[in-house]
Amino acid sequence: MSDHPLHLGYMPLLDAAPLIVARELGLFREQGLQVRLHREVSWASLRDKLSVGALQGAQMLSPMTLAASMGLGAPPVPLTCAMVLSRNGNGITVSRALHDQLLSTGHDLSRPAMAAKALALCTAAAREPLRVGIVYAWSSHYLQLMDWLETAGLRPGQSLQVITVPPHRMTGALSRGEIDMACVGEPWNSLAELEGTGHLLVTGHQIWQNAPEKVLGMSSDWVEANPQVHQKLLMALIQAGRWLDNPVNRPALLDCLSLPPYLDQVVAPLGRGGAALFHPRIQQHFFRQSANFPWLSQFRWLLERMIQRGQIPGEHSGALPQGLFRPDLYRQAASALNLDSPLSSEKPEGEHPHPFTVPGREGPIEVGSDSLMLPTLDPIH
Amino acid sequence: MATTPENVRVMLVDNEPDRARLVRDALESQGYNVICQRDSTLGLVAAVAKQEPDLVIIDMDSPDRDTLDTMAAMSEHAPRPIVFFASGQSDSHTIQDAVRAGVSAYIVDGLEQHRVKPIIDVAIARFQSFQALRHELLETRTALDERKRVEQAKGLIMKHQGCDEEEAFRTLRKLAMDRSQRLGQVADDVIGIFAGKSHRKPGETP
Repeated sequence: MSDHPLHLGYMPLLDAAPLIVARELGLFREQGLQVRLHREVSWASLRDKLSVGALQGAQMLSPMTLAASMGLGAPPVPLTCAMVLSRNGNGITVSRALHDQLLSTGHDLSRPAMAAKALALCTAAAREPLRVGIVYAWSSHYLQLMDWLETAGLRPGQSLQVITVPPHRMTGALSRGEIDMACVGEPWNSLAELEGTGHLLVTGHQIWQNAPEKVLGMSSDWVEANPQVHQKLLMALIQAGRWLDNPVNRPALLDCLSLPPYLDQVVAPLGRGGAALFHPRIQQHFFRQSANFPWLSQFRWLLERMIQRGQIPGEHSGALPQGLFRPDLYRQAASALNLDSPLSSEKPEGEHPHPFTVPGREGPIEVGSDSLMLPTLDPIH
Repeated sequence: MATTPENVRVMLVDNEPDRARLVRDALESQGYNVICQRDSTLGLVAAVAKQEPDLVIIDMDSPDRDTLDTMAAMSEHAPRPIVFFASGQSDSHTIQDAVRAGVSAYIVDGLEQHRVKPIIDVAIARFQSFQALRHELLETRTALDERKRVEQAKGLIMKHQGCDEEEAFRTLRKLAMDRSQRLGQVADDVIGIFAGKSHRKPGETP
């Protein structure tokens, strides 16, 4: 059906899995798609390649789709996002030395709010500033980190410095003491724990439950010119997500990810048949509980967090860019696969500490919990 | 604001020393003041703060692109605001050429667009000529045997990924950089995985 190959970009992270397995398992081919995957080195280059048409689409950080379409840091890139590729997948990992200090405060570190309080005590007592490595400004990692820090009244500044470190250099930076904490996506938290260089202190899921982590961002021009091909692409990726959520497939997934140039040798330590690929605390998933549905209410809330962090210059109404998120296109693809979807594109955000149901066309549909840990105190006095 | 090339400070971030030399020589011969910087995150942030370049030219394939993007997004971390070079510029051909050649750049707010373009054009031209030169360099610097294995691995990547020769070569180089291994070593491994007995199809049980 398509003569020209479709070029899609990804970053070598665990949540690139839907694109990788869709290609390796032949799910793209079954839909009549010819897809070439391009491993990118930075989110910035991935965005620029989308912008000039070298890529038609990519795995993208949710906040980055807003930044790119609003023209933050680069000319605006008109995008269409019709599905969420993954939920959760981030963590805040601390060095062994910092972990010892946090333990010595006596706070219960298993509770994120108490862990943040312990960090505030350590920051106040430290002679040198504490340094936290982040991956990218327009990422859920960064926004989650800021929300978590602020629950204990912490903000980046003299005593807590924020440094950008590419994901694959994060564990090295932790072990060399260049940073004391890393806020990064998988597999890098798991790898830091396995190597013994860090402890996973708080997960992204504990801060924003089941937040949309990566989305499929497509060039709007391409989607407009190829609506049918776009539907086939969504169908292949929904099927890939379903396959990924089945633990039976872990050994085969490890094989796929290990192929060069995907995640290559990076995932080898998570071996043992792929059993350790997904950290139990991080709750990364790709399909279950309507994971792929692009809730407008969720992205509007994400935009609010970006405004809160001063990432959107000037006054902003808080309205989502027109046509950026397309739950209608998702519903169409899901329906072609005989999957039901939520009837409404909105839900009250942050009000569900447990899984709940929403109405679908054929009956109730289960949706993951969505509690949000938000700063309760005003840090600016 | 600067009015002559000598007053424009260009920081060049490139881990490919041969290419960095090509670009530096070309810019310096036109009178620009060039600061060379290897890409390493912690050093880069400090270098930008200390050197206060007017323009940063960086290899598109450098992971430190995200460091510069983040500096631009969070002005409190940047000594001066930096924006991706295409901002507010209507010259989309330059942008396309730059992306194709693998050049990206960040401009300190205030440097006029007409002063930026000649610098970007020099970088694009030198990055392009280096692409051709790279194969020559590979031939003079690696043993015939290793070159053959790199060729074979390149062919396997091309077949598996459906990509062209240039991209397959860049893929091998990126893997070598990520793994801190020689190209030949990565080539052997790729051959082992795709052509060797160790390869089984995903989905097959071991």
